[in-house]
Amino acid sequence: MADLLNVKDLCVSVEEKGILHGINLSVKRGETHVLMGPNGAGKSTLGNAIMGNPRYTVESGKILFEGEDITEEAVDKRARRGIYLSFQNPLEVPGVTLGNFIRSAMEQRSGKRIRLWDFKKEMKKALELLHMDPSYAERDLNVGFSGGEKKKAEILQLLMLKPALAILDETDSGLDVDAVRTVSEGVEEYQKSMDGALIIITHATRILESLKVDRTHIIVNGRMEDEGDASLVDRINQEGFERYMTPVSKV
Amino acid sequence: MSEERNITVNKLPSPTFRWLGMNSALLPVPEKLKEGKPVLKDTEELSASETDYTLMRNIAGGMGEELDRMAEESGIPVREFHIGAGISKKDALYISLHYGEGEQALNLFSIRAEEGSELTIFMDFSSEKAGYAGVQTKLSIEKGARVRLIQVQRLGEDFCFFHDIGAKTGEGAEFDEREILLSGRQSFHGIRTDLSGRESRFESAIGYLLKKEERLDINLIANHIGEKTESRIDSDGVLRDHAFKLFRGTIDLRKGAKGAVGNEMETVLLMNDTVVNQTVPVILCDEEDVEGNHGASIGRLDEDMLFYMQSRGMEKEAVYEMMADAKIDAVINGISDEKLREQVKSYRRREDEEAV
Repeated sequence: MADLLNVKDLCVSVEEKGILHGINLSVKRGETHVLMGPNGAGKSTLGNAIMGNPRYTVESGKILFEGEDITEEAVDKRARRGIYLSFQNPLEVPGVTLGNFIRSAMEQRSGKRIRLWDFKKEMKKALELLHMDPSYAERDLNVGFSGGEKKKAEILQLLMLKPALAILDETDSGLDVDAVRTVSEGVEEYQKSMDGALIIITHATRILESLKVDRTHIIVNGRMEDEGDASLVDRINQEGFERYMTPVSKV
Repeated sequence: MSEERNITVNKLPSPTFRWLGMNSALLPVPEKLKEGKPVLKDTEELSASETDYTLMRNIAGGMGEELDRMAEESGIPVREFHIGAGISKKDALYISLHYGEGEQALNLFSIRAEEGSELTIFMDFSSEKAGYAGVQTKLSIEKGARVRLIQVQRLGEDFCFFHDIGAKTGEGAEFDEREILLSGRQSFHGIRTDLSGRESRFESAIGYLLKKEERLDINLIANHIGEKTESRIDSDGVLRDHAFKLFRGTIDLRKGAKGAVGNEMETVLLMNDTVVNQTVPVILCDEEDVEGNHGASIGRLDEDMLFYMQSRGMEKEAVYEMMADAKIDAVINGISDEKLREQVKSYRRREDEEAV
């Protein structure tokens, strides 16, 4: 099967400071990849670079999606191809309701008007799955939402927009046990019913418990230091990243 | 307009450099103005009468003295609405003025809210394509009374309009003023509130959408006179095409206004490089124990916000359109009365349909 995402020798800088140094990553349709690494290793940078955040500069290397080079492509075009990034800190947008935002995004992606009735029906189902009150659809996007509600709203968008590849940037951080369970149920639904591919950036394992992990990648200091199957997650949990750290990076 | 003169309005209480041309505005005034025909609804619990200009003169408006003189000389009667002490009026007093093609109208309103009363006024200004209209509203809000004034402006593309508001608040009184300005070729708005009574409050929220060649000139003044008085001014707008906007916002913390707090915040979303946006925030202070804050956010959309919304598949232009709508919707959503809120939303939808 051909790769859905192919990152080749990617070097990325932020404000002229090199963060990623020659990253390679291949993800096939429906696969779940876990990206782990110590703080500041470059995990979020990789997520943002794949999504096309203009704050991150690709110095060299390529990003291919479904075989096409998207390295220079605008954010919205990548999103319409089927790439989704769940934000670590979702922004508050006063005056735009969560429902209207999702519907507008769906219409922009499909280029077609979506009937309100159909939209509401689908939205209700997704809200129920995430144990969210229907009134959230009428609330301004992320305004006054708690940390957990913001993360759930990100997964709600994922379920409604149905991308081919979702990058979850620490979606489980700062959540209590129940919220993590709800969020992972949403992610599981995405994985199973939409054959969605996932890149999960995480420090914890609770979000992974109900998911079938295909590959695990370890980033340290902007480089892929290791790769393995799901068992690598458990090893990291027991041993930490110590073995990947050079004496300099330990400091 | 066959014959007209200009009068000076919207004077900045503390002038800045003259060459900037922002100290005042010139308001064209046609020679003959007739009283517009308002449609009034829900006047129960109020006493309505016709008076002369005497009471109006005692309360200063944001547009200034020359306008007062013009209004008084026009001979147009003042319509006074008076709410008795302790009465809380459930339904809003509804004043609707629809101006016909070529009409040249002026209306004068006096609102008197006695001690402990509560009143919401909804003013709806609409028109055919071209014409001229002015409105002056003066409010006396006595001790512990609360008045909310909501106005919606949806005028024709060649229409010139002004609304001058002046209010005086007694002890513990509240004046909440909300303006939703959707269209009109040339608009002048003056709002002045004298917070005379101790612990009285003034809140103003203005939302505007200006397009094509539309021009908007605003002079907003909060005079803190009494102790522990509070004001909050929020102006939120969108400029596109060749629109022009000048906003003057003055918080005057006068001697004796101990413990007073004034806040003003302005945000403007600029949709094109061809718009003209001018802002003069002023905080005057003649008392030590006071607080005055000003903030402004003017320009294009924040890069992080744009990235977030585009990452859902929305084109840059669509994000801007959505955010422009959101700004005015946020002001509309602040209308506490649900019925009025829905009514204003229906106007918005109609404006959108007509634009298509």
